[in-house]
Amino acid sequence: MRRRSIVVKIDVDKYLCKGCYICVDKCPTKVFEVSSVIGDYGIFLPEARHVDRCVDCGICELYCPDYAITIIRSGGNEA
Amino acid sequence: MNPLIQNYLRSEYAQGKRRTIFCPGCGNGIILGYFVRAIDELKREDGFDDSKLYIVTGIGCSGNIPVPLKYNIIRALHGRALSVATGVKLVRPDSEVVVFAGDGDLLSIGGNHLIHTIRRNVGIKVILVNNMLYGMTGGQVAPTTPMEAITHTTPYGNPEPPLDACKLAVSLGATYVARWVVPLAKQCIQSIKELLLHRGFGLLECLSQCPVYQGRYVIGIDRPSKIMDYYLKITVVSDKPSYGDKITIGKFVDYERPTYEEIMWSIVNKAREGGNYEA
Repeated sequence: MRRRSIVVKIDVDKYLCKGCYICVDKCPTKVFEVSSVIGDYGIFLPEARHVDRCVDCGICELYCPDYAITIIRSGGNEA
Repeated sequence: MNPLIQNYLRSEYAQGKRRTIFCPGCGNGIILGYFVRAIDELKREDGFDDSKLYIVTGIGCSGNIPVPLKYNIIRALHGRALSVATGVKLVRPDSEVVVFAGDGDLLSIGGNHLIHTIRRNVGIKVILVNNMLYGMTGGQVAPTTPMEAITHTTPYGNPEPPLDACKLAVSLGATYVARWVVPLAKQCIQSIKELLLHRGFGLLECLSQCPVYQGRYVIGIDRPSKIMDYYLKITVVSDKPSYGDKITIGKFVDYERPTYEEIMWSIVNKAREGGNYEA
């Protein structure tokens, strides 16, 4: 049986993100993709398109130099 | 904005109305994140008192690391961060003094201060952010630039062999010396925690990426995540410091000896008890 992920959403701040794409390259399960939305710094924002693949390692939050990424987890009641 | 980091930032930064001033993909922001996480873990584990935390910085990109934090921050002259930190530690021996310095700041311009601070074993904690050149002024050659690397001031390759800060500190008798790279997050956070709980002089050298100058000229890769992969490729874990083709990382030294402020205050108390001083 497949383990259910408790990560419901990965939020990328539109103002704080500077577009270094460390999160896009360093995610071990390739959750992030470069979207076509332009952020306040003038870059294409990364977007967490495949949250169902997320294994909750926290690498993106740890490596983000501008603290723009927040992993929003559910309470753990489901599954 | 990340809520864990948000608790430790100043007003405008905490509201998410102002960015850090670093370039996109700079390792300085990652190191500040590690520092905040280390303090947070220490506070949750054994009640680390961060009200007595003083942060002293020099000049350079690494001098801007603690600027968003809500702690007491002193900006010293270029290379003189360790002297100011020694003064703070002597006046308030129960305080916790952390110095953020870059490789040009600490090793080239403040090299003599580094040597004598280690010799005295002043109980201050130094986090040396090594990005292998002078980042803020435009990518000039620094003491830690590898040989034959191309920078703005050495267009035909660097003719000088690099300086190994960890080897220097170990040979002078520093009581805690470690070197880690930015991609190794858990090791960096653990090392910062050990550094903050250490009693004497501690030096943590953190190899960090500068995508704009180091990435384009010294290494030849301008994508920050690729520079992080490159760092993992050129580093080896060992217990002997070396800084050549392969850079060794790990914890090199960890022991204790009497610190400068303890000896100094014991002399002060002895003189006061004897009564032969003039107030």
